[in-house]
Amino acid sequence: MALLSDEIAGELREAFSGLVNPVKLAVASQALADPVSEEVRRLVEELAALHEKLTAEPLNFVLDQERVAALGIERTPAIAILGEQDHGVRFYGTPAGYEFGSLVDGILDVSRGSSLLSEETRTALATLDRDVRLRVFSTPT
Amino acid sequence: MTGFPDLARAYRIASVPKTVVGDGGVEFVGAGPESMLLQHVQEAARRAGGVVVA
Repeated sequence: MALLSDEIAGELREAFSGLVNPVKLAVASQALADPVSEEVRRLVEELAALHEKLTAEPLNFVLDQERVAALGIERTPAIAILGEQDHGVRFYGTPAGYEFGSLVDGILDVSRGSSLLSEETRTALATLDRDVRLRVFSTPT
Repeated sequence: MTGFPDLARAYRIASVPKTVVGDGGVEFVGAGPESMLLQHVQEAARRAGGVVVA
């Protein structure tokens, strides 16, 4: 049975019409240790089937260790949102409730290769001499 | 937050959304203007030993 209803799938197709460049969703799961992560993998595969610019790359957290490490994935469930380049966007946990919208927004931002940040902020960020990791904690509502 | 109780403990998450910037103790709860986010990122880079060329 599909996780996404026909109604939601239709809304997502409309949202994904805003996709610019292809996006790959690398989803790391492990069935035995984290059954919920398998649901997330299924969800990502259903998402990827909705638009030709989206592809899913299912990864087994244990068996595909090399690829998982290369993507900097530290736990499951994890979704790496990869555009023409890797902007470092990772979504950990279940994209449920309001956070499902965050995942979709993330996919659209990565596809555009852009964000809503002002030119001034971008210029300032470009002067940083190291990467800074932002961890945003939320809870499904 | 509920999915990763170890991280919630490690980063002292009492309310959400909470954003932890870098690993030097820079963090904020809720949302703020873009300029505030930039300042936090610059501070995190500074604490990490980076030089911010303004």
